[in-house]
Amino acid sequence: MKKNSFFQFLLNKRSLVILGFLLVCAGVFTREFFTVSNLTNVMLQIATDGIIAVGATFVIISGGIDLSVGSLVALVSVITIILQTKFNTPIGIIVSIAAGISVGLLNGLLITRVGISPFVTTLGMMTLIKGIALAVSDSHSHSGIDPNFARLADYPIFGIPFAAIIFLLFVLAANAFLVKTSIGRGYYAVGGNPEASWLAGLNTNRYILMAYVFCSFCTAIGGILLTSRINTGSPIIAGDTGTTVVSAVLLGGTSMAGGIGTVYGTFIGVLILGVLKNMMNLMGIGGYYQTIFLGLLLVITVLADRTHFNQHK
Amino acid sequence: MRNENNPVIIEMHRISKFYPGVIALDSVDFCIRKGEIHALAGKNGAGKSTLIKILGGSTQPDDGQIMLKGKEIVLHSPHDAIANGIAIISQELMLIQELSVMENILIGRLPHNAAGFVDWEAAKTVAAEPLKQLGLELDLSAPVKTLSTAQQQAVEIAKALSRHAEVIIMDEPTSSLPNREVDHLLSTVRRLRDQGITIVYITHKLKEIFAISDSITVLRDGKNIATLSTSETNQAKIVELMTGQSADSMFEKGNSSSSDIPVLEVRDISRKNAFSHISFTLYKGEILGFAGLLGSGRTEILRAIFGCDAFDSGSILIDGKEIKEFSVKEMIRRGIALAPEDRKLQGLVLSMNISDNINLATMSSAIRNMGKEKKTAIKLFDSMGVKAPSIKALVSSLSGGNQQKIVISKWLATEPKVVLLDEPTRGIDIGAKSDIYTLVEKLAGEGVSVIIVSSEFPELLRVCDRILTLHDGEINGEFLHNAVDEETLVAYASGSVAQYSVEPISKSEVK
Amino acid sequence: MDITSRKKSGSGKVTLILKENVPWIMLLVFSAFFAILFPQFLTFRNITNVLRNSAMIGTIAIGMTFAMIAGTFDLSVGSTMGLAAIITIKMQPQTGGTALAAVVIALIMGAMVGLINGLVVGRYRINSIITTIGIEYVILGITLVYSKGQHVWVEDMYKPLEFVGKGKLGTFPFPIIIFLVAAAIGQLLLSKTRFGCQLYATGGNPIAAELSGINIGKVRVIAYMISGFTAAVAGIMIAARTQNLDPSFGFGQETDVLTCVLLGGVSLYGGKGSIFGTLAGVLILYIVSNAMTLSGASYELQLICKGLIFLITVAASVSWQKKGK
Repeated sequence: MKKNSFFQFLLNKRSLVILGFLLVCAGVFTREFFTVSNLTNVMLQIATDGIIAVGATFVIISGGIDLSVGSLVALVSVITIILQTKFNTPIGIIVSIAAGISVGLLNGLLITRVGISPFVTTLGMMTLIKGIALAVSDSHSHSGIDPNFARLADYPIFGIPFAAIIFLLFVLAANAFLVKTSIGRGYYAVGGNPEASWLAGLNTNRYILMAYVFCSFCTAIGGILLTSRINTGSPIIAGDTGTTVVSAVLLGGTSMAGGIGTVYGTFIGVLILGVLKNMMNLMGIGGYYQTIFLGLLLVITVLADRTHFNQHK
Repeated sequence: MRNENNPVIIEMHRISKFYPGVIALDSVDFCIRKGEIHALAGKNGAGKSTLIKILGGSTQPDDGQIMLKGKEIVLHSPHDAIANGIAIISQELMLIQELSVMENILIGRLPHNAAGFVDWEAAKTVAAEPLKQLGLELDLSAPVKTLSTAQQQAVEIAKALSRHAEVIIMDEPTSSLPNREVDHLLSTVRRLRDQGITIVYITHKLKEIFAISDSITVLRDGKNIATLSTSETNQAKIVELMTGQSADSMFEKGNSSSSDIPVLEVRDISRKNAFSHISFTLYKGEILGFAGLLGSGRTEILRAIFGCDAFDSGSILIDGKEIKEFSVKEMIRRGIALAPEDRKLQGLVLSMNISDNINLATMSSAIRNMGKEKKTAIKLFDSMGVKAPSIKALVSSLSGGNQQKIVISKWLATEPKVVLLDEPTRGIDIGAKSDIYTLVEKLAGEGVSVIIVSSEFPELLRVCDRILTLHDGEINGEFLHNAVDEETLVAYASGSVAQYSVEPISKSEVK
Repeated sequence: MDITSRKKSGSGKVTLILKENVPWIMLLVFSAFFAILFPQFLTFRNITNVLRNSAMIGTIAIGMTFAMIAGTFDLSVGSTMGLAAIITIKMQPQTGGTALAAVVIALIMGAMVGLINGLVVGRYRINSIITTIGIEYVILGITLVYSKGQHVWVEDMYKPLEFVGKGKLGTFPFPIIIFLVAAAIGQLLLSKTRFGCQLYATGGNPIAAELSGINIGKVRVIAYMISGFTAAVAGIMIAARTQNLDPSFGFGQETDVLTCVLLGGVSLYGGKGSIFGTLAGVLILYIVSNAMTLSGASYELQLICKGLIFLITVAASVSWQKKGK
């Protein structure tokens, strides 16, 4: 694995360099960045999108894409809070996770069985789930009533918020899975050359299906933690989660061509975006400019991925 | 050395396969003995690839049985073939570029513990085994994309060995290899044979067949013509068996309309890994043939002349003027037309109708002149004898021969000076073929110059005034149509020239 | 294959005509169904209402048909429409001169967005979905910055411009006229110009198109520019009609447009489709949502239904094309 990891290291180094540069900038241009409260804040901010990005990494390595994650976060937040109000918190959480897994199954089945392209499938699901979220919530925001749940995401463990701990655990576990297990290695094969993988006896459809299920599961977890943080169930939150997540994964060196990428890379990508956003906030650059920036970043990362992809073809 | 005492490992018995309008395999018997290198020879369309697909499980025969070590087997899918110890190394390697050598060899079968974690130590041992068997030293953890084509091929073979393949089928394994690697591959194949592995070796190159095989089966027109022991035959005999003479006699070359006015002059053009030092002159009204096999650079040369791919050095002159700007549009403007090799992929827009396809390259004004388009389309439709309900029919509904006529019509509509035809008769029926030959001759009679690339050499002998042979990206022979026969062309194109005494006409004569 | 194409019998022709007009047949069936269910469905008032509601999205669908036939997606039309509308309102009112300038600037902006999309997507169409989503965000951000995130409105709109949104020719609302004129121009462009033919070729088989001397990059850029331009036209129509808008209202509307276009029989893979079909697709979506409104279904339920219609349409068209192969 020596040469392989060296190559990955080089690829990731590009994002590491960007991250380092950003951290220096943050230190130079803002006073507040390197304070405990701000860093805790950054960790909280990146944790939810980060967990989703871990799932999206699987989907993208398998050669697909999931654009429906943003709507799913909204649906999860609505379900969690409404069921919390009607019954109790655990039921809200369990049903949310079940909803996430069902969405993943539906995505995966439409892609593998019906044969619709991942882009179009998840684009349609995005609208559909958004509609369900609006219907379930009656187009209103609902506030949570369980103070313990409201404290969950930022509950500090050794000074680190619970959400950030979960994010780290997801990164470590998912990375170990992709690097060290035979199924994990299979994902690289399926994404890199589906035909060869099929010929070698891998059940490519099941791999792809499970990638979407895992991605939606991660999205449900991320959504629940986000809901806890804002203690609100709203059908219109997380509008730009999909774009942020795809940008983060691509920034981390995962290629839309499939078969290339690491969870650690995604971790760095998430950090880059988080630090950037925080810096812009601290420097007083408004949310509207951030929207422009987010869109540009997506276009640029996709273009950069394409050139990177072409170089290896 | 065909050892008749070796037990038969695979026996294909009366295998037939029909495609609409074509009999791909006509009751073929094919018998392979254990531990031999069995070459499968035949021209394009002889049925080699269909036979191999059946053996590899990706196509099912319409009739016949396959026996493995005396027991009948049915191969529903490639998985069945692999499970029965039959592996195919196709031209397009089935490797995952980003993964390591080891993971490619063990794809789908990485050893792991109960929790699913890969046991890398065990993996190394298992993956090293087949490489040792091949006598190769490769870094097991290097990503496959860092390897040379030859090394990647070796990984593919190692993958087959590690799955306990007993029969390895290699489809044109040297077509993508540089010359210096070929000998190495051949010795690898021999080594495998000596270890008791059975090899089916498919190639166009006769030299290789004789360098390596123990026995040879020749297919022609979907039939097994002969299975011979290599030591008891020679190249001339195989060429004769491959070509047969029966089909050719029906073609008679018409009068030549070639003149001595140069139209297209190609001067010493080269492109790395594709072709080198290509020079020739095409005269007004001449029909020039390129006799070359797959991978000889024939398609690449045409594409370079047509302006779709660049070349590294050399120059091209049309009507004595050097071309400075290379683009398809510019070349069309200067009167060059290219009917590409793959009609469906490159030649036609299947979702459009006949008339639109014919007029695609000619529309000169922003607002379409429907009347003129219709006139052009009907004129060509009639003169080409296209069989379709009307010019509004979708080209996807036409047969191969009629589709080819539409491709050519599109270019005739541009009133070209030079028409480049890349495998114009591949996969079309005999009637449409002869229509196309007649058309080419008619064009030449009208002063249009034509270049035909083909691997069906009788066809070149039938229509061309002059034929250039291509091998490994170079022109290695030049013949007038009446001074050469098919066997000689095959010999030159497959690179086994030394066997023959017919001398090409000198190149300087035409330069 | 030859045999079926040679069939010249009358019944064969009828099947062919039916096959080529699936969207219109669907439209008729739906209309008949709704006419039976809801007595007020087939009233003149209700029908002009459906048509007027469909005019904005319909106009964009005309443009998006071009992008889709070229084999590329344009998901930036929602924000583009939004920005055009905000420009139109913010640059009002008072004199005819500024009103004209507002319209011209909005239209140029739309075409420019198309130009950028076209250049970004270029010859490689693989990423057109993601890149145009990126552009959608960029345009949304610009709109928000431009409007400072505030609601925008205008009290006295220049009358001729107001007419574009609210006026009537006889009893016919003017937006419908614009929609139909755009459709007519679009259909002419597709079937009577060289560009139209090259567009089908580019989407149907880019390799063959290039080998026929067509500059497929240029064709795609023009297709995107048409798409952006019609989005701007729709934005102006909406601005003239409501004169009071939230800056992010356009964001996300592209899925409706995409649904219309796909319902109208335009292929996901490019090369197939017509404005005539798209027209039917637009009407189907809008009579369905009209019928839902008539039945008293909530907005949320309508959104879910739209999502379902989208997925079913796509699944149907994908399996249809699989069978065709």
